[in-house]
Amino acid sequence: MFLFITIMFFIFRLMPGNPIGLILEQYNLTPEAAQRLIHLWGLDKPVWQQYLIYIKNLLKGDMGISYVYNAPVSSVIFSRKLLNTLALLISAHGMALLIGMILGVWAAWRRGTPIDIGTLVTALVLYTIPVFWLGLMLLMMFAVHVHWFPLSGTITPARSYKDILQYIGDYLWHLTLPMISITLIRLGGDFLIMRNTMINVVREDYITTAIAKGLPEKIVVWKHAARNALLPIVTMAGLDMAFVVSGAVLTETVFGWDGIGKLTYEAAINRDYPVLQGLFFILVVVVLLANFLTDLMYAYLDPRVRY
Amino acid sequence: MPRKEVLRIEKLKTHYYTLGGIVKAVDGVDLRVYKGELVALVGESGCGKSTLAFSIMGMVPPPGRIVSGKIYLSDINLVELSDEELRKIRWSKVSMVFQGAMNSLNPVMKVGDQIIEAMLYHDVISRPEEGRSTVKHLFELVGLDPNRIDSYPHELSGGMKQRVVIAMAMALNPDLIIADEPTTALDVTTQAKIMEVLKDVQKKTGVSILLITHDLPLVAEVSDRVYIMYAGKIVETGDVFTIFKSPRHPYTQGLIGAVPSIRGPKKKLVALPGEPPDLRFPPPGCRFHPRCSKAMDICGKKEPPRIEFGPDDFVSCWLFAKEGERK
Ligand SMILES: Nc1ncnc2c1ncn2[C@@H]1O[C@H](COP(=O)(O)OP(=O)(O)OP(=O)(O)O)[C@@H](O)[C@H]1O
Ligand SMILES: [Mg+2]
Repeated sequence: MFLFITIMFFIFRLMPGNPIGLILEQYNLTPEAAQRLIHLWGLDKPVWQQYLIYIKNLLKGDMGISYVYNAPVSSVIFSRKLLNTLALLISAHGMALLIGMILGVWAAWRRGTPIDIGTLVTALVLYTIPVFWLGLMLLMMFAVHVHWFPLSGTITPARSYKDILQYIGDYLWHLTLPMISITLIRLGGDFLIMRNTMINVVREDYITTAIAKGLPEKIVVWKHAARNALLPIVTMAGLDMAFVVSGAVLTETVFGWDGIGKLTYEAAINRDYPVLQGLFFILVVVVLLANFLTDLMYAYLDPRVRY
Repeated sequence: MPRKEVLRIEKLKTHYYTLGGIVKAVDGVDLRVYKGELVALVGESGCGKSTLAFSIMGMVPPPGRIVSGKIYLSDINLVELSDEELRKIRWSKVSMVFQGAMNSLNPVMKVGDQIIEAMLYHDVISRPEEGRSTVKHLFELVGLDPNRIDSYPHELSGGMKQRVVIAMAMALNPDLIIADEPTTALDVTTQAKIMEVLKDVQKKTGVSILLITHDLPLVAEVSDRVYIMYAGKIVETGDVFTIFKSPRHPYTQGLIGAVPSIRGPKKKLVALPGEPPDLRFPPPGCRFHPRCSKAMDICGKKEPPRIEFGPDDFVSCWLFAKEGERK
């Protein structure tokens, strides 16, 4: 963890480009004002001193000041942006997992039928499509061609709402396209994992026994087979966190979704190191948390690993 | 003494339609099991024993299917039933202990629940709790601690799992249990114990058992009647004394001869010389003739007739046909 923070700190300092230069251009600051900013942010000190200060502050829970927003990094990250991202990721991944699992179970049970093969080919295609391409395609079709969905943003700008329901409706309307694009991208992978595991589970003796017991087909498939096939996909969902984030960066940027992904992209463009560091720090925490949750889920699903 | 028929199979053919050809795994089998009997089905690996068992359960895996014949389970022809009717018959009239029964238990479900489930979906009980006392009785029947009802399979030893599987097979009081090599995965002492359990359950409940096995000494010890299967066909049947004391078919003689003595130390079946045939292209005439030391001209040309010595007592071999017929 500590090592990770250190490496991160220096990698960002080594990136080409100078934050002050970019800000100077943007705001037309006088040289004196710029000098004051540089001093305020500690950028005139040697790098190793900056590093020590950074570590000291981090231990205090202070992640520094954003160069671009001129506000504490924590308040930049823990804001509506985080909520927006959570709304997008949880809905999209939940959807992808759910649909991928149901289709995967069902296709494996009907293995080799035209329906199974059709689904399989579709999944492979989805699996290989780049996320930004799919996003742009969806935008072209549903926002530019027919105006069913908005082009970008999380809500319609400068609109007044009658009540909270109308607000939520507008939010969901904006959410639809980015959510669908992440769902579709993830769906292929989730489906393939689930189908693969199911195909192996279905060959197990306890499935033959379940059929012999005269259980209804639905019970055999869902209660016996699917339950046992859940384990690998849960593991994958936990391990895939890094991929989830990269998907979020691209999708949020394409759809102008004001979330953490877009923030990451902008921070990288603007060389806003403190924000980037904060983001990666949180990413590490999230990955660790996800692994912990995966272990918990595993223990819940598989009595053999309960302690 | 008129004996009640539990299972009657007539001219059953079950084939696998593979890309490489049609595997005639069961090819015209007749077999009968009466109430309270333990009938053994014996034959080399790959002769179609499991396929026969799956046919009775109505669950032959694709690309296999029952081609023709009849399977009567107390006067109902299973071959004609719809999927839903079959589902209701399974386990309630005929249950099965599978080959490699160690893995027959779902690893993520409590063993008690796996038994209760069978009762639930056959409408024997309407709520899971109602089944618990029955399961405890079943556990006692097979010599398991009733407190094991809430154990997971991984918490039990191989022998205990096997007992659970037998208890499960008895859950709905079926007329017949098919036991497909029920003890192969166990060590020798446990094997003997499990067979005792099976015999004991039979004595107490009167259930009929069709035991599929390679283990001839075991067959001699526990069974009432024996069917000898070779390459998809029944070549000989009779009561256990006939089969072991005076086997008639050269194949049976070969099998028995390979075992030193019935009471002697248990020994793995010594393979007869030669290989069982490829069931896609079985040899013409008698399927055993290429390996038979007593083969005659006719054996490779015409299928042998069935020579009956009494009810459920026959051999399919040219050696026993009348002189005039051997042309
Ligand atoms: N799913 C299948 N597809 C194609 N052929 C099969 C299939 N299952 C079994 N067979 C073939 O059918 C024949 C009979 O198989 P079966 O499993 O019934 O034999 P068995 O007597 O039970 O053997 P064992 O003693 O090894 O269990 C074998 O030749 C086997 O290769
Ligand atoms: Mg078998």
